Amino acid sequence: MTVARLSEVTFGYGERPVLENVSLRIEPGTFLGLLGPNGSGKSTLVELLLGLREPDSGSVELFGRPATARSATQRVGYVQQDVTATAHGVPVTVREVVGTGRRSGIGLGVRDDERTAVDAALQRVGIADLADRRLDRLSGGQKQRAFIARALAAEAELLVLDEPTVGVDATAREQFYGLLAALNEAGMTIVLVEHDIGVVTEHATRVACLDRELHFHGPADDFADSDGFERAYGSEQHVLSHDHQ
Amino acid sequence: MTRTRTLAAVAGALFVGLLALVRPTELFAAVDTVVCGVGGAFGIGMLCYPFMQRALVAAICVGVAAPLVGGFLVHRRMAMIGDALAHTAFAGVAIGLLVGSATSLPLSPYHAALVVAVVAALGIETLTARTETAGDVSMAIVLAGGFALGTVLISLSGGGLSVGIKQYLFGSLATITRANAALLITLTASVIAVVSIAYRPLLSVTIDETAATVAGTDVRRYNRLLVTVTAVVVVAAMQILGIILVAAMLVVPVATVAPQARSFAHSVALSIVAAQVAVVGGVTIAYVGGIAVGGTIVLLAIALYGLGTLRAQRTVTASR
Repeated sequence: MTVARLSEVTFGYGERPVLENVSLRIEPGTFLGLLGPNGSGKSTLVELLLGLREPDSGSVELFGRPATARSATQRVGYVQQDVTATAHGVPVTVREVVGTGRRSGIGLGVRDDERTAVDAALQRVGIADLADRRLDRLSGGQKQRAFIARALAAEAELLVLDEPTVGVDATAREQFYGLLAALNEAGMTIVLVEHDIGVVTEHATRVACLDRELHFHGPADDFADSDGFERAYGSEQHVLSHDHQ
Repeated sequence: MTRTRTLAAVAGALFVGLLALVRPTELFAAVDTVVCGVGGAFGIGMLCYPFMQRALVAAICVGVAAPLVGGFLVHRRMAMIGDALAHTAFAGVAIGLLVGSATSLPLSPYHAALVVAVVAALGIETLTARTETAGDVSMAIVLAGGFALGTVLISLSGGGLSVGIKQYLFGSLATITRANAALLITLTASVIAVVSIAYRPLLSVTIDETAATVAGTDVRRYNRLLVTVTAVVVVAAMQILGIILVAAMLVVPVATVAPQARSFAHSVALSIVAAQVAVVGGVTIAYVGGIAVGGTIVLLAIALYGLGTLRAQRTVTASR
């Protein structure tokens, strides 16, 4: 089943549309890098994809259901922009954060099966030893892993990350993308919003490039040579590869 | 384990709350026996005065309920909502006094304050969710509107209410009746029961509202629940702290322990301990010194906050 499908989506905050006639399909197992200049509508597209907003026209589906349906978004894990600022100052442990991924509802404490799922998720992202540390005492890279563990504990099938490396140092960034690649190899569908074109073309399997309209959607290897790249960024551009060191 | 713990907390709270509601005489007789017995054993005579027993019961209830709710408010940057609701509760008190003086209706100012504060709480939530109005602006509008309405209603009484209103503004040890203390116990028990049931979704929304929405949590429902419970706590605490100082107990104990807490659950427990020190200590000092009880409690809470901040800074310096 197609994970996400946007059909002729138009959305605007005022009279001027931020997204115009965007159609996009995300198949299971895809690692999609979503690119575009500032103000191109990337974050708006993510909000539509997560069912946080409804399009002015067109439709957005997740797992074959409207994206606003709770049963659809429950299958999505979300890591928002600037994780270093998320829950800053809240005296919450990594285990408590990851535990909120389990949708077992109400009450005090944690059930045994939830504890097992949380431990497994922490193990998978490599921060099992930090389970009882406070989230706000972690580095940016460790925080990212905690939020990904929350999505894993929730058994998310689609992981959406909106510029997750803001405020994270270069080494942690590389390790983070390595983790995403490993999760993708294990079958997780990933949508990564990024401003760093090099990172996206290096790690993602597919690229979508936006600037109000969708200018490119295809294999990551084809992006640099496409005209969609120039149309989105407005003038002649050159992609310089680098090793993030 | 989860279900057992939740059921025990809810059942215990509801039992005490119902007992206060239907058997207040027996409950306070038991309080008198225990508290006066302890007071006699330690030579603390004030514990045998019924008005002090009621004041201590009220203080202990406030010291549990306020930080329990305050933990979610402070960490969601909603610390000012307590102040906003207290000021709207003032309008409720004025309505209660006005109706009570003008008619023979048995409308208690606290009941009127409870209704007005809950309506205002839901109004703030709706203004924030349905309009472009920022949360702090909604609170400022409701705060000013509530207090303005209260002052206009008092002026309509030709000044007759302005004498009686003082106890509601500043709180009082001597004016807590048995009925009001029983109401406070019931309200506190309700708050404990509600927070025990909704603890996990409230925590989820506190950590990351957007991710909670995506994960399927009905964030607006829990926002409404949180502001309603806050309104209940504000009215409950108003008796002893007064309208002007009531918000402090929602905020200060939570802020005191936040830097030291090992987890959210730990911070809830520690903030209740800090609040108990402030309220019981404050009531005692106010009685001994013959000074304003609300102000004494808040000053003691702020002194604890100062000590907590100093300790946290020392820990940070030592770890560098």
